[in-house]
Amino acid sequence: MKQVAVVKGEVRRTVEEAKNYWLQTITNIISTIIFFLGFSFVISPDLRGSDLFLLVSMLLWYFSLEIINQMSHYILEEKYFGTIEKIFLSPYGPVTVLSYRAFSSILLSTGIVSVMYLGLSLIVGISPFSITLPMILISIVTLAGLYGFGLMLAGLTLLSSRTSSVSSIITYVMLFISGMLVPLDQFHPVIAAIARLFPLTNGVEMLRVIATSNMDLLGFILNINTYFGIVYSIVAIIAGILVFKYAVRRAKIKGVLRSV
Amino acid sequence: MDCIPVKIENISKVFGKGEKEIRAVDDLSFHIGKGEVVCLLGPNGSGKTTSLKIVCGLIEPDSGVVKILDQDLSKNTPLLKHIGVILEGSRNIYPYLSPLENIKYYARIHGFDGDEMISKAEVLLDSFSLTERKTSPCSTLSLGMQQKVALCCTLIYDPQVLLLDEPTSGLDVLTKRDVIKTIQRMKDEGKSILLMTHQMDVAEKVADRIIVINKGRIIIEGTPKSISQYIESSIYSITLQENASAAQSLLEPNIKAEITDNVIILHNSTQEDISEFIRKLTAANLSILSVTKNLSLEESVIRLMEGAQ
Repeated sequence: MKQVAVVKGEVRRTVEEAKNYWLQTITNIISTIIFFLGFSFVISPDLRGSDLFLLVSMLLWYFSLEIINQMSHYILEEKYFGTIEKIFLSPYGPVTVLSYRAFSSILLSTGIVSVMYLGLSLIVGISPFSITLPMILISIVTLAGLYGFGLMLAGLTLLSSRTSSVSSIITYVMLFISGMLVPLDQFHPVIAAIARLFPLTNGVEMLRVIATSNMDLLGFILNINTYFGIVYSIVAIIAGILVFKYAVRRAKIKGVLRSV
Repeated sequence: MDCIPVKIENISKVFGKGEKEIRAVDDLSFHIGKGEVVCLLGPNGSGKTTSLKIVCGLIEPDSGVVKILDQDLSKNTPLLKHIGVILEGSRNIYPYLSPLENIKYYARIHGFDGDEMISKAEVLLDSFSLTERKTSPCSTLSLGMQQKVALCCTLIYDPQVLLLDEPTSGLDVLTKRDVIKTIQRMKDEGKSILLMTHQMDVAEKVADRIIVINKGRIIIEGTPKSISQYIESSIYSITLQENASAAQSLLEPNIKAEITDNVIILHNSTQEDISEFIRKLTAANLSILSVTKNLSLEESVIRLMEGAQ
């Protein structure tokens, strides 16, 4: 039950923080809407038949923006406030506290994304109910991978605050090379290989297959790429935890927990 | 059987390598008993804060062991629930949260929740006269109030061990008095407290034991009184009615002295040295107002630190 208290603490803190940073949240929402409408109607008119795919993958990108940026941002902000050391003094440890924080952030983002989904689907004339269960499931699997990736970047931010700026760039790179705008097989093989390292890429590719082939739940379960996505996410989470724990250890040895 | 709540055994820490190597803590050992306040004193860069961060596990020592309630902290992180820390240089609170939200947050990440916790938070806020501002964002509070909030955030989960780094710095006299009273109350409740401060009056009021460190090593350890007495035994202060510069020529070459206005401070002097010097002063028609061996704790520690430089 004590873990529930930690979750509650993080959810309440995240809500209060969101109120404080409402302008940044609005900016992210507007950026996503502009990107979506721009890509949908101006840059990629040929993708009009895949509007649902583009809409869902854009919203998945919005999630990645929130998770990846937020994890690094949390570390950086905590360093500035001097609260980072208090997080490390929790008997539950920083990985647990930050994981619950990411969970709280995802809960909040889910609310925002749901409203965006409803609004944008009405604008582009897609039925809000056309989203399928396989699309939701692959989005959840991708989010798990994004969490691991975010944890890795958070660990690196712990050692060097400059990583926080890099994480922002990475999210925008992911937007363009994830296969959301141009299918991955149209990229140069080297860029395609690099793109596959990002957790968003596999999720987007799977979303494209689901959308274009009207894949049902059985087809999703039987598809080998589903399991590839799950394995990728598990590996990303394990790697994220290991990198973060390594960074914690290094920071404690070097005494740089609060250095900004 | 009661154990010693905090035991620090031979901890050492070096930062950097080669020419940039800094030995921050050098084979430091001490303990804090139940209901005891131990005060770490030392100049800036003497290794106080590094020592505190090692004690709570925020910095990993190169060698040595920190035992909390007889268990090795590095192998047993749940022990952290028994440790409350106030760190210097920041208030350790979220500026966009209110005092009440901050307190509740820190209670929850230590596993405490429910009506009892909220009632306790209200009591703490009241005891620090923060009730009126309990829902205002902390960024709108004065530094003193923020420091009080940071204390409440630490006291809410009732830790057995308190590590306080400069808890009274930057506070007005009334707030400082409140914090000192809180430390004394915590001590009476049986908590083990490690206090770092540059304010000797605070150390003098609350410390049971003082440890003076420099370059990461202990210079002297004892009660505030015993430290003053140790220094007093070799330092005398003589106050003249007139300017004391004329007394310079009367000093024996082997006696180290400082002369400021009408005060002469003699270092490492014996009773015989003093008697001889007083005889010379009288013979030179210099009027002696007082001869004293009483130095304040602050003066004593300054002398110790100067001696260790």
